[in-house]
Amino acid sequence: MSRMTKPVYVTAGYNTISLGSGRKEFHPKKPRPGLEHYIKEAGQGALAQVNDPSNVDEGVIANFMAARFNKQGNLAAVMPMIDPKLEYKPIVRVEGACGSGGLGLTTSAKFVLSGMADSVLTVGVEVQNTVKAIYGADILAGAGHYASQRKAGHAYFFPAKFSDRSCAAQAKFGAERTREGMARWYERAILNARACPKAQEYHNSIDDLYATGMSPCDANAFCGHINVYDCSKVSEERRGRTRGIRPGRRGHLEGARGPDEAHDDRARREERDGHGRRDPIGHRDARGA
Amino acid sequence: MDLDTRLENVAVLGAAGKMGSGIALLLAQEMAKQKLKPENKDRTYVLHLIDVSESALTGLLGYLRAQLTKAAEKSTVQLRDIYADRDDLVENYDVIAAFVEESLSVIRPSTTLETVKGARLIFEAIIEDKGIKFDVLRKVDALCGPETYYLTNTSSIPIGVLDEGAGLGGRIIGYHFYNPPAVQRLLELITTKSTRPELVEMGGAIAKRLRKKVFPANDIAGFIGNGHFMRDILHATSEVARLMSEESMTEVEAIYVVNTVSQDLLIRPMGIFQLIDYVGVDVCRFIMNVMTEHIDGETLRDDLLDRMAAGGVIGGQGRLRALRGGRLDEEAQREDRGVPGGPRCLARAPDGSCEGRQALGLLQGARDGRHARCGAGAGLPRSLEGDR
Ligand SMILES: NC(=O)c1ccc[n+]([C@@H]2O[C@H](COP(=O)([O-])OP(=O)(O)OC[C@H]3O[C@@H](n4cnc5c(N)ncnc54)[C@H](O)[C@@H]3O)[C@@H](O)[C@H]2O)c1
Repeated sequence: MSRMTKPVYVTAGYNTISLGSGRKEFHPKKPRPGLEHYIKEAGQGALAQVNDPSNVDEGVIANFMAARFNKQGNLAAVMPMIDPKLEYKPIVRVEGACGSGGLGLTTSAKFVLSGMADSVLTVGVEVQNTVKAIYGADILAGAGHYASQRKAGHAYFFPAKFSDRSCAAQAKFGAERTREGMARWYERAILNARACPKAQEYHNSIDDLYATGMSPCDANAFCGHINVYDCSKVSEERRGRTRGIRPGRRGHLEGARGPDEAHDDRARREERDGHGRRDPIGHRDARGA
Repeated sequence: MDLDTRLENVAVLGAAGKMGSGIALLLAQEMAKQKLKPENKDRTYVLHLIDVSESALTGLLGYLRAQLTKAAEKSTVQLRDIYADRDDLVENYDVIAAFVEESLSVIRPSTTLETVKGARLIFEAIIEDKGIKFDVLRKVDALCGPETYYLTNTSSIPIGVLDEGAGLGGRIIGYHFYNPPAVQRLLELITTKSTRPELVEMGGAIAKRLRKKVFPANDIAGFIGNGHFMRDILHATSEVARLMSEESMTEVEAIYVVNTVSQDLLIRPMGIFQLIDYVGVDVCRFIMNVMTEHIDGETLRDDLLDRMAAGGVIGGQGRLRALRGGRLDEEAQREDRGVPGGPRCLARAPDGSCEGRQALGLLQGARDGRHARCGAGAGLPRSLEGDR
C-alpha cells in the first residue's frame, strides 16, 4: 500500500511530567508515582478532551521493559484503570525499545485503517527510575541484541554506544571542537526544557550551562567520550521543541483517533474553526498534537 | 616478606568501630581485587575483623555488605573488565553481586584475639586509650611473632610511645586515616627513628592501593591533623564564651553562630561543632588528654566537651542529632544498636537519611528555640536552662 486508504487523525493528547533529577519534586529517597499513576493521568487527560470514553473502540499501550523496571507484565490489562468504560475493549501492548511510543501510534493507525476501529486510545509510558542507573543499564541493553552484545558491552551499555559515536566525531572534528559542540547542545537542550513545564530538566537552574556541558569525560566512572550531561539532550531538546510530547518516556499519551467525526463534536468544531491540529498519521509532526 | 604476601593475611583490631569498619571496607575491596588476579589464584586471602563487641560485629557485616555494594556499583566499569572471562556474569547486577561476595568471602569476624595468629599486617583502630592499646598490641604480638607489621590509626599517641609500650621494636607506623576512611583521601604517615624502612615503604605502597594521599608527619602527639583540630576546638569554644559575655548570646546561640561561621565562611563541609559530633566527643577528649600528657607546657582541656561527656553525650558520626526535639531519642538509639561504631545517627532526617552535613539536632534546636529542653536527657545543654 503506497498511500493510506483514508486519513487518520490525532485528536487529543496529554503528557505527564517527566520525573527525574532535574525536577524539584524528585527525591531519590522518597516514594514516587508508579506506572499506574502515569497511565491513569495520561489516559484520563486525553479522554477528558473527547466527549465520551465509551467511544474508544480499542486501546494500545506502548512500553519498554515494564516487566523488569516495574515487575509488571500484561500492561493491556492495566489500561482500564484509566476509565471503567475501557473494560472488555480490545487492548494490546506493543514494544519497540525507544520507538515504542511511535509503534503505539502506528499500530493504532493500522487498527483504524483496517476498519476494525474508529477510535483508538494510545498510551506510551515508562517508569525507569525504579532502579539505579547502573542496573537500569542492563535492562536498557535489552534494546540491543542481548545475547551477542551484553556480555561484551560496557557497564553503561547505551551511553557507551553514543560515547563511541562521540569518539568518531572527535576523530573527525578534533576533541576540543566536538566537546564545545556537545556543550552547546546541552545548553540548548536545557534552555528548551526550561520552556516546557513538564520537562525533566524544567527546574534545572545551573547558571553556566555551557561550562557544565564542558565537564571532562570520566572513563572510569562513566564513559570515555561523553559526560553525564550529554545524556538528556535528545529528550530535553525535543521536549522543548514539541512542547512536551515524545514517545517512549514516562507517562505520555498520544490519542490517535479515526475520522468518524460523529464521535467527537469538539474535534469537528476545532477543524472547522481551524485551530485543531489534525495532521494525518504519517505526517512528520503528527506526534505531539 | 613482600606486600602481596602480607596482604594474604591481614587483621583489623577494633573493626566494628567508626574507623575500623571503614578500614575493613577498604581492605576487603583491595584483598578481593588481589584474589581475582589470575596470578593469585592459588593464594588464600583472609581478613580478620576483631572487636570486643559481638553485636557490633554482626552489625559490621551488614554495614560492609551495603558499603561494598555501593562501592562496586561505582566501579562497575572496571569490574566488568576484571570479570571479562566469566561467561556466567553478564549483567552489571551479576558482576556487582559477584564482587561483593568475593569481598565478603575473605572476612573472618571474631571477638577472639587468638584468631589473628597468622596475620602479617595488623591495622589497629581500637579505642584511643594508651593502656588498652599497649595491652592488645602486646598480646597480638605474642601470637603473631616478629614478622608481623602494625599500622596504628591512633589520633594522638606518639608512635614511639606505642612502639616502646607494646615492645614492637620498630615494627609499627602511625597510619592515620581520616574519618570516614572509605571517603577521605588524606592519610598521615608517622614514623619514628626506629621504624623499619621496609615498613615505611610498605605503608606508602598500601596507601597507593587504597587510593590515599600520604602526608608524612612528625611523631608529636596529635600529629598534623589533630594538632590543628584540637586547637581549633579550643578556639571555637573560647569564641562561644566570648560571644556569650560580649554579645549576650545564650550558649546554644553562640555554638550555632560559631558552627555556622566555621562552616560557611571557612567553606568547610561541616562546622566545627558538627565535626566534633562526627568524630565523637569522647574521641576528642581522649586526644586532648594524650596531647596534654605528651606536649610540654600545654594543657588541652575543654569545659564544654567535659560537660557533654558528663551528661553522656558522646556523639560519633552525627550522634548528637539524638537531641531531636530536645531529648535523646532512645528508640532511634535502640534501632541503631549493632551498627558499627555503636549507636550512630540517632536522629535521622525525616527521609531517614543521616548525613554528616546535616546540622546537629542541638544546633537546629537552637535555631527554632527548642534547645533548652535538651538538658532533660543529654547533659550538654544542662547549663542552658539558665539561659532561657
Ligand atoms: N573518630 C575519628 O574521627 C577518628 C579519626 C582518626 C583516627 N581515630 C582513631 O581511631 C581509633 C578508633 O577510633 P574510633 O573513632 O573508631 O572509635 P570507636 O569507639 O568508634 O571504635 C573503637 C572500637 O574498638 C573496639 N574495642 C575496644 N577495645 C577493644 C579491644 N580490647 N579489642 C578489640 N576491640 C576493641 C570497640 O568495641 C569499638 O568498636 C582511635 O585510636 C581514634 O583515636 C578516630
